[in-house]
Amino acid sequence: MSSVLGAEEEGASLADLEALYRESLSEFRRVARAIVGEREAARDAVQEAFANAVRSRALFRGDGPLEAWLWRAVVRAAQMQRRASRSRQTQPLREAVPDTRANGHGHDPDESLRAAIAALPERQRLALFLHYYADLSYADIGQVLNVSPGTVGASLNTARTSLARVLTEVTRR
Amino acid sequence: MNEAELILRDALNRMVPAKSEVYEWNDILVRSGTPSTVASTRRLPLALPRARRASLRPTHRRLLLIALGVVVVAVAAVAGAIAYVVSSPAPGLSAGVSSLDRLPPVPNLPPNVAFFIERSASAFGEDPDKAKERVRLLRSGLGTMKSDLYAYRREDRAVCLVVTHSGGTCARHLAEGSPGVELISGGGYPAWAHPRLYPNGVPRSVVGVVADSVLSTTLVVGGGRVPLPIINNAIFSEYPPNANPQGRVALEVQYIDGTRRVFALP
Repeated sequence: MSSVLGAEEEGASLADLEALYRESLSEFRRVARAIVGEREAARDAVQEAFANAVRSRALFRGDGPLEAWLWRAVVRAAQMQRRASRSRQTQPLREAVPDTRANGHGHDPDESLRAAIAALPERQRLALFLHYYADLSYADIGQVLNVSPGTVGASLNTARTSLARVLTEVTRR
Repeated sequence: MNEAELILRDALNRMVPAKSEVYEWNDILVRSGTPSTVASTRRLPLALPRARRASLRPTHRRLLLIALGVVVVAVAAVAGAIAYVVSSPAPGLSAGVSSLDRLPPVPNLPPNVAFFIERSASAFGEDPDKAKERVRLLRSGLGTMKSDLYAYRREDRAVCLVVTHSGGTCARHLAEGSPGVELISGGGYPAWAHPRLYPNGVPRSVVGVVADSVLSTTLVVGGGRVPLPIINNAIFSEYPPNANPQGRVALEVQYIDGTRRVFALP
């Protein structure tokens, strides 16, 4: 993650924000989708996060990379979108599919993995998404989640261990 | 990269595959209320004289088609942006809060309210005494603590609100915040209120100001729905006593233009 603004600068310019949007749009939306679960809601979360960033760009203090500031905004917006989606109590499409697990056939290992990821603590889950979907380094993830790179590494290792059982199942498929 | 790592990457890629995304920077500018800068395009005639059109070489014709395509896309983008603005509820409280014009001034403000008005007015570079003259009492005797909701409009037309026994908040500018609502949510834990005064505790609550563009509001909590009446552009509700404190809480807002939004509450 490169620091777009120097530490001595205050405020972010529209051009800087647009450049990062253009450069990492796919990663922003992918991580948001992993958090929210729905493509359209994820798109909305990223758009809303950047709209907020544009509105409050003068408040960016420049004491860290602009990209980390934006990632925090996107993650926060996606989390809010997920809460809103849950409160709307819509039925996810996949639940409408008849459950074939009861007869032992058609068990979807990806579904098991999805459930296992959903069961991870929030920090581990976010570290996982930021690492695998956005290719951020431990240091960059640490700046987004406000933890040390070591903590990011430990969170990812714990997450991998927790997912190992399900991953074995995926391999056997 | 070991095998387990490859399997994990592969599984995660299947769950959320990488896709090409549509670049929508103009939508962000519209949402943020920032004027967009449309690239200047040369005005092109809609149709060229027949003789001249025939004399165009293929490359010129291609350039002309590209230019026309650019103009069509630009017009569509501007039309789309206008349609979005027209069909979306106005941001923040920019649709207006008519009760602040209709209700009478408050002659004697409670000390805590006056203190908040002085602080908030000063923070926005306004004269505290003039700000106090603009304060209106929107609701009173709310909930267990019998709180009162006061609000005032700053010179930049953004709204500050303060609730006795609770707290206050100010939008930084008129268009800040969720469309049509400015809220305070709090309480619901023992330290919120004095145990001697409120031995049974004080439930969590949501209180706020809504714009004239809002038709109705509903609190969605613990799977239940509580309609919140709008009185003097203000809403209030304590969460039902049986609501799960860990459950998701949201405010459902119906606007007069027919749109509906759901906002997650903390």
